Amino acid sequence: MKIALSNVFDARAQPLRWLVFAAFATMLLWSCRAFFDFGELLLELQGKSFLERGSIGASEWQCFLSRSGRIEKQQIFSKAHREFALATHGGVESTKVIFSGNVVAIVNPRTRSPSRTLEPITVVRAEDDLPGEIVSKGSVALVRSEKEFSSDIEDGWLWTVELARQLPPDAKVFLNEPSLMLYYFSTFMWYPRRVDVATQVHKISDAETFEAVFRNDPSRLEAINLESLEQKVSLLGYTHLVVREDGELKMLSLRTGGESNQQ
Amino acid sequence: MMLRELLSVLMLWAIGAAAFTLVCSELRRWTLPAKIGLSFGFGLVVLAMTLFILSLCGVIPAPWIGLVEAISLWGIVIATRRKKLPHWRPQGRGRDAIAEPGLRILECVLFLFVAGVLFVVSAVSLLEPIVEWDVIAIWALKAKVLLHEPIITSPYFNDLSKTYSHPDYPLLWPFAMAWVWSCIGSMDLVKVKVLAPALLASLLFLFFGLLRRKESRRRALFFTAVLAGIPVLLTQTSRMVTDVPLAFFVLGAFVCSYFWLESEHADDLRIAAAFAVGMLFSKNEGIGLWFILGIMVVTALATERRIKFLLPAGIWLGVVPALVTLPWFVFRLGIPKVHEDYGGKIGVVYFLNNVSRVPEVVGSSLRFFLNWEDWRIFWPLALLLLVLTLTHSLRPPTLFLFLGAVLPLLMYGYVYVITPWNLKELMEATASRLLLQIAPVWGFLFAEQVHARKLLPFD
Repeated sequence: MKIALSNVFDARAQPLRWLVFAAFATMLLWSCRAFFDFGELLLELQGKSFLERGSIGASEWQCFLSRSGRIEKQQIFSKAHREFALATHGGVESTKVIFSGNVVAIVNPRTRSPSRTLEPITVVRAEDDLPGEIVSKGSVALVRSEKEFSSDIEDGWLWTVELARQLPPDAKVFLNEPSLMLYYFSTFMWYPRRVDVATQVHKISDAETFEAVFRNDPSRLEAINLESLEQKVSLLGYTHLVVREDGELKMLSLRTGGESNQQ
Repeated sequence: MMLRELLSVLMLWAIGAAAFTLVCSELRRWTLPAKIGLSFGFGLVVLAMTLFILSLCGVIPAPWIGLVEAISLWGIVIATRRKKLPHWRPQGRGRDAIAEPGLRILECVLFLFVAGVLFVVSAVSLLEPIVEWDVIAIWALKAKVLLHEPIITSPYFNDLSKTYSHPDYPLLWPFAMAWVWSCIGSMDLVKVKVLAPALLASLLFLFFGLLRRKESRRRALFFTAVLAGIPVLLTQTSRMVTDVPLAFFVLGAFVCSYFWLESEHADDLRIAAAFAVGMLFSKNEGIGLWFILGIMVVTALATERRIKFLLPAGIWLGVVPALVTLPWFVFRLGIPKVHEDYGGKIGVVYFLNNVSRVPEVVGSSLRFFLNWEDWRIFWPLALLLLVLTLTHSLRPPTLFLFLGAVLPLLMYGYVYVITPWNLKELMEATASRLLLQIAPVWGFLFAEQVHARKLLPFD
């Protein structure tokens, strides 16, 4: 059997077929973006160290794979990307950004309205257009692209991977930090070393039960109780303690009294 | 050096190829890509089940286990099925028409597209370490546990402080990861990702090979390219998310059952049974999908009054997968159930109590179906084809595939209605992945619908 090309491309005889073909062709053409997305990431990852590659991959601001399958993350990213492109002329100039809680305020003097909120991105003409509380409590940075944003997951991944190399094989770690992500990541990265967030076994199935563990034993969260906490967990056989001091995460060795690393 | 991780995957494939050769009485019915894809599925099922049984007996994953298994299976193949081995060779052109240069160029373009996608996804997968939240919290953690201690003595499965990692989730993918790590000799976060390109290649080979049972090479390539063009399939495979192996097994089980209903050839049924085992041992959703498969096959046979086929269907699709995975389900009974107990909430009364959630579930689902970033226009295409081929889709044999594609969607909708979690948060994290589990079956349905109504210009 021989197929004649002229029959195949006879559009008048097959309008429905062409409609279907056009729909599939559209899907395929759009799918070619995979070459750009994966290709760009490939170029970024190439030649980098293990930690740098993990850092890029874990950051939802730097790696599209981290946003895949999650609509909200994708929407927040595209809003940020769009607004940064406008504010920085496509990354040519840097623009002022104010971070306060969950709010990311981009200062763009050329924006049309004084203030536009695109949850959690806010675009303002000037800092004065922001509520005073955000300006006073927020931290300011000059940024060219959303890729410069830090990511909690990226920080947590890096910190736990780096410490996994330093922890002795028989370590037992008490994590005194109410971060579900750090608990998940450290449990995996440091396995088979045990990681606990409570001195007794409690059910931890999600963020709610995790927070309950901390809520029910608030005294150990106090920095002033650090010494007693060290004694308490040391007596229970823990060799390392993770605490946050002056805003920095630290791993304390209860054997030597030294500090392994800080974030 | 990539040698060890490559060897681990090759061993997995060799085990599967031997098992496939033993199970299949007529290898010639399958093209080489189908054989490669099916072999990977058989390999995952056979090796993971072996490692699980041995772990129950106190043995942790080690390279010698796979080696002994591969040598034993190939020994049996050579002793009993030697004459079938030449049937592994690629066959002649068969159904393929001799096309004009323009169409040959189309084939080349489609092939380059699929191969190119496979290349870039593989390259990224082999450079990026494991960083995905779910993989770290659930699947890779389990793999580390399995590699460190036999499950029979492991405290992990009863540790309430680790219930976030769902100890009751099936172990096929963690055992596959533990297997690669055991071959490498370390729990390397990058090298274990050799499984990602192997799985993607096997899925595409399987999809193409299954299509080739009924379609020309050109059309099979065309629809394989459509599948390879789904962004969320590529990203989730690269990230080693377990929904992709499940999608792979669902494709094999559903489509081979569909073939069996037409061909009545025992090979199709046996392959479907092996892939049903893979479904049950990959993710908990596999249980629901297995029920759907059973209901569909029984309904199809009953409506066509082919009562005598109910027995082989019941044995191969019901009894065999249940028996093979029985040790897992018995072991699972001993794991404290503190998470979502969907089994206890499956009743209609519970559904009716939560029926007010239905509009929210439907509304939110539309956002995911229409998400360009993850799906491009895959689901709008599905709707277009449904509209254009509705009468064909509702007639046997396409009806079977149609139900196989639609019923899982209803099941997922039902689960969202009865779930104890915050619906918005749950859908944000899971909706795209659930759709992914059945996307290859939908892709296959596309091909059947288009074929039935001759909806492509090069039909």
